[in-house]
Order: sequence, then structure tokens, then C-alpha cells
Amino acid sequence: MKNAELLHLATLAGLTLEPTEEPRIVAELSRVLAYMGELGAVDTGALEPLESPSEGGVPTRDDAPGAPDAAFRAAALAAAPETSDGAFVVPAFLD
Amino acid sequence: MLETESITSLAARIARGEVRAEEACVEAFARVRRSDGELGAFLALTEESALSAARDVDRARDEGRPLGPLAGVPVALKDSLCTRGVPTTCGSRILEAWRPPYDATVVERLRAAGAILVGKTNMDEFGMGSSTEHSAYRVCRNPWDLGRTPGGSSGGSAVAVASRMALGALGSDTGGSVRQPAAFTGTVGLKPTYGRVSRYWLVAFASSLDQVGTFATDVRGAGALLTAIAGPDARDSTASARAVPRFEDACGRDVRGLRLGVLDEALHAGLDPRVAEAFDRAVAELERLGCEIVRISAPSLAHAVATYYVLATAEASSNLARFDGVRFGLREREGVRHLHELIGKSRDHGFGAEVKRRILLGTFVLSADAFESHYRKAQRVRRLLREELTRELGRVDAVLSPTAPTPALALGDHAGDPLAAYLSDLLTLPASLAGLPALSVPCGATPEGLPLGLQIMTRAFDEETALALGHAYEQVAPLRGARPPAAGAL
Repeated sequence: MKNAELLHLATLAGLTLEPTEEPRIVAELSRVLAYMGELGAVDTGALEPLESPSEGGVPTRDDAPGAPDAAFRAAALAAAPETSDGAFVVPAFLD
Repeated sequence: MLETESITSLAARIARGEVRAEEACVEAFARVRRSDGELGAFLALTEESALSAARDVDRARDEGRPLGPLAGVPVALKDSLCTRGVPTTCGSRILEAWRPPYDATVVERLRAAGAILVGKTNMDEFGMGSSTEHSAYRVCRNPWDLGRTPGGSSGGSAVAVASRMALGALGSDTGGSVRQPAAFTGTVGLKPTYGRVSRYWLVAFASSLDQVGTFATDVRGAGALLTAIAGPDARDSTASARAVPRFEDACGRDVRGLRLGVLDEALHAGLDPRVAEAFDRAVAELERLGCEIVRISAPSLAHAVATYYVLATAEASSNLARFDGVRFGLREREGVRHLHELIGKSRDHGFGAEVKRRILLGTFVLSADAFESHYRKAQRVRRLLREELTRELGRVDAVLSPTAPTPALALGDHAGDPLAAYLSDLLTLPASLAGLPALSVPCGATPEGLPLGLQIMTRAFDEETALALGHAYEQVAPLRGARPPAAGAL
């Protein structure tokens, strides 16, 4: 792994790394990824991926909004670091 | 009294009126005050609400009202289990100021059973670690040797029980986080079948692997705690609808004639000789108890570590995306002008090194270039390993191995070498990947006095056979009833 790849990954992961920690992280990730690479040699034939050991597989729900829950909304907002008029506050995201 | 009682014996004595719940509660906090400054098992204590709950138990008994099965028993909770209004940090700075609006289902169920919840226990940040050294808050020490870790990630829960600051505790086990610290602290740790226990308001690390597990001073207690928390939950679609037995009743069941498989690959996994010797003795004891011992094989065990770390980091990178400085916990304000800076800096300052490492690894294995070669491939190897274990469990009643390849490590032993730490999880990972139940029961100690664990893995939803075997073995295990020196000084 090269430093540029790490910075790309960090962007994808929503992390802003300190430049001083980058060389250490590159070295550690390189070692672990090399180890993970051993899986490529395992003969898995035609086996399907196993996403979950759950008895019924991965359960899904209807793709529909749930009923409004005023108590949950109030509790979620109360636990947030900054809110205004019943909404989460974020800084600018457009220049 | 906590020095000599177990979960079930204390509950029975309180129900008979021989002991007051308040006395047990007061003693639990006295023990915390005497020893937890050094041990570091707790991140938050709930003394006031615990005393109030204990007095409610005593009042109910005085008035002849029915008591719950765990009435008056002091129980500790891993800090990844949400508790309404009580700090739930997951060992992370990013959740330092957060107070959950709800209780986890397992917390509700413990309260309903009458358990006295004494506090939240120390852990590796978000469950990512095997030593509790990745806690953002405090060092957690093994009461058998203060220079060693208690294992992890549920190290605080294990230490709380080993030192009898609580008689039981809940942890969460993603790759061994209940069983391995149980082995290192001389306690009993049970990871139930995936789906046996609701994960509702357990802060997610890797959702296809996470399972709430129990710690106790004996096997019966671990079963009694599971009885209280198991069962369907409409709020967790992976929680099984299967009926819940009284797990503790499996203790005392006849184990003669059971076929037990010794996993060949586990014996060639670079075991510490002291671990290998204790394991051989435990197997011989089970044979003397009338069990039949056979050798079995699951060749894919060799790939369990790589498989687990691909899948667990992938799921973690998705689950931890919710910590963005907007909706929960830490929000970095300095030098922040744009949303992406808010997210990046809040996460960089809020997460520790191990969590960041795993998020980056997970982001890599889910990226377009690696998705098939790493993520999908690991899911296929996961199926292969589960098929091998299921096949072997078709001809044996349980699979035996040591719980961990070494005894507890010295603090700092794995610093700077994450891969070495990951490799030490080898023996607990198969049950996690396959979703099977597994119990760790103490099986003696090294000559230096470090506890060791025997792992008993059984078929899905057959925790009872593991408990029956664990209980039978516990009666003849070496050093039964031994207490850690750091707790003995209390």
C-alpha cells in the first residue's frame, strides 16, 4: 500500500488522519492485507457467500417509512451535539 | 457474602429471606471501592439506582410478592449495552458525552428478572481488541496478575466477576470477546447461538457476528443469566422465535455417553505448552466422566483469522459510519468550515488507533477493487468453515479446544503488532463465524497461577449440552473455587 492509497481510503472512510500517523498506518495495513490475501488460494468451489448465520438468512423489511415516532425523534435530537428547530445542525456543505 | 455465593445460590438465599438484597448490593460497591481503582473494571457506576432496586426487592419479599429469578443479584453490564440516561461509551471518546435514550432489550430483561445493575464495564473501544488495552479511558488489569491484561474485549465484565464486584455480567462476543476474557480470569463465559439473544440497542460492531453473552462464577450462573435475557424480540429481526428453556436446568444432566470431538487443527495452532497440557488433562477428565473422545477435523480453521478480519472490519466500517459528529457524541468544532471537515475531524479525534485501523481495512475490502477478491471470498470461506463444523457436529455432540492459545498476556505485549493480536483469536473465531454456541469453563492454571479455559462448542441452539458438559467438568476441574490474589486481599 502506498501513502496515496491510504489517503484515498481515509477519504472514503470519512477520516482525516494526522500526517504523522500515516507511515505507521501504511505499514500496519500492508501487513494485515498481505495476510488476508491468503484467502485467494482457498478452494471454495461453487459455494455461495454466507452473509449471516441467522436461521432465516438475512431478514429484510418493507421498503417503506415507519410510522412517525415523536418520542424517538425528541430523544434522538436531545442526544445530538447541536440541533435547531427540531433538526440536526451541520456546517456548510457547498462552497 | 459475594466471596462465596454464586448467582443462583444468592438468589435462592434472598428469596428465602436469609440475606437482604441491600446487603449484597452494599457489599458489591464496597468491593468496587476497595479494588477497582487498581483493577479498572468499571467505566461508570450506578450505585443510587442499584440500592433503590435492591430495596425494592427486599420490600417485595417482605410483602410476600413474587420475586424475579435473579432478584437481588449484582450484575455488571459491558459498556456497549445501552442504558437509558446512563453513560454508554463503548470505551470510546466519541461517545463520551452521549446518554442513550433507551435500554437494550437485555437490560430491560435483567431488570424484569430482578437483577441489580451495578455499573458499566471497561472494554476495548467498540469491542475491537482482545486485551481491553484499547479502552480510551483506563487500563484494566487481570486480578490474577496485575501486570497482565484480563483479555477482551469484555475485559471489565470478566474482572468484575472474577473479583466478585458482581456475581454475573453481560458482555458482547463478536470473535471471542466473552470467552477469551473468561478464560484469562478464571470465570465462566458463554456465547450463545447467533440469534438466541436480542441485539436491540447493543451498539453494533459487526452485525452478522455480534452476540450478547454471559459471565458468571459458575456454569449454572452463566445459564441462569442466559435464561433471563434470551428469546424472541420484535425489535431485532435476527432474534430467534425458538422457545427458551431454563438453561441452568441442564446443569446436572447426565453426560455419560456423549461423543466429544477434539479439533485436530486447534492442537496444531501454536499452543503454549502450558495450555496444551491443561487441555489434555481436561479431555482426560471428561473421558473419566464417561464421555467418548474422538478426533475431528475442520481444515478451514487455518483461514478463520483472515476470514474474520475481512468480514468484521467490513461490517464495522459500515456500522461506525453513523458516528459523524452530527447525530451522536463528539463534535469537533475547531477549524471546521465544511461538513466533510466536521465528519473527518470528529472521527479522527473521537476514534482510537485500533478502530481507525479496522475502519480503513473494512473500507478497503468493500472497495470496488477488493469486493470480490476479499469480501465475497471471505463470505465463501465462512460458509466452507460452517459446513465443516456442521458436518463434524453431525457425528459428535460437542467440539473441544482450548479457549485461547496462550494464558493472559502482559500489558503491552501486542503493542505495535496488530497482526499478532489478531492471530491470538484463532480458537474462538470458528463459533463466531458459524454462529454456534460456545462455553469457556476454567480448566486449571499455569504453574505461575494464570487461569486457563476449556472451550465447549455445540450445535446451533444446543447451549444446554455445552452447559451440561461444562457443569460436569467444573465439579472435577483443578483449582475449583480458587480466588485471584488481587481479590483475596479485599
